[in-house]
Amino acid sequence: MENLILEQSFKTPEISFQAASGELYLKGRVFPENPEEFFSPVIEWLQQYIQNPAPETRLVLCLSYFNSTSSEYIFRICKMVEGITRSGNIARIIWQYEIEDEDMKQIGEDYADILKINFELKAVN
Amino acid sequence: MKSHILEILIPVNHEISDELAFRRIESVAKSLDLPAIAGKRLLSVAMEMFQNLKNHANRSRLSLLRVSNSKTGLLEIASLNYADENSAKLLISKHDYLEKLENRRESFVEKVSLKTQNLEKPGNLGLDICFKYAKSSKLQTVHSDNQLNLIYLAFLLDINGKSHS
Repeated sequence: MENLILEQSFKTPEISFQAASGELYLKGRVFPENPEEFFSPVIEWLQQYIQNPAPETRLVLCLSYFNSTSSEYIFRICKMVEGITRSGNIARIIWQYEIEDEDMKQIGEDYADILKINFELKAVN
Repeated sequence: MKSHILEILIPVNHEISDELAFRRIESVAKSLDLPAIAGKRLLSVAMEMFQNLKNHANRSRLSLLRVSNSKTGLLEIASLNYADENSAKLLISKHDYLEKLENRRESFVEKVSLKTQNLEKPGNLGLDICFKYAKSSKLQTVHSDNQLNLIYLAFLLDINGKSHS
């Protein structure tokens, strides 16, 4: 399976999904002009990946801003990674937030409460 | 707090990019020298209101997004636009519902989770974000010509990070 690599733009995050190592990385702002168009290949890649995931999957989210529509896609990505654990594989989510960004921390805590997966909150400078 | 007013006039046909709006709002947030949490909330609420105008305001009329601050420690993010009768009714009903909610943060997360489970079409949670971060809101509608309503919607943010819930 090919890796999914998307370069960061002002409105869209850097995406680096490595199929063999299970390292899935999203970083930056998320408010694409057309969220469906932007996220479709990401969701499609994940749908394929979860059929045969790496022994360990690690989703790292390091987001400075996302709008309401993108929040649904981000949650959907988290849910898909959570699904990996139901088939006996190891998966975890690392939610990175800027140290002063209490709201982003809160969103991470809210997701951690809902998702049944090893979910780590990590403050970064 | 420093004084600043930002006005973004959204032209007929709404040809103004999200990126331009984001950059302008972010620059105001920086120039106001706000605490980090207030700056991020200003950005979140103003961007949701901007996108709401682009998606739901009448496209044959101008719309306005305005950010201003007062000496009372509150930031006001307001929009003024025309909308058809149905859009106005929908906004009033959604506003009334959200205004009465006890825990807006919890409600937002539940909605996101439910929409994901049911694979509903994404969107329509912008107003929920505004209510989640605002201390209070104001909504006024006036019936205008050609079956249109003039809508004034404002959210007040506390610069110290206090919100309704």
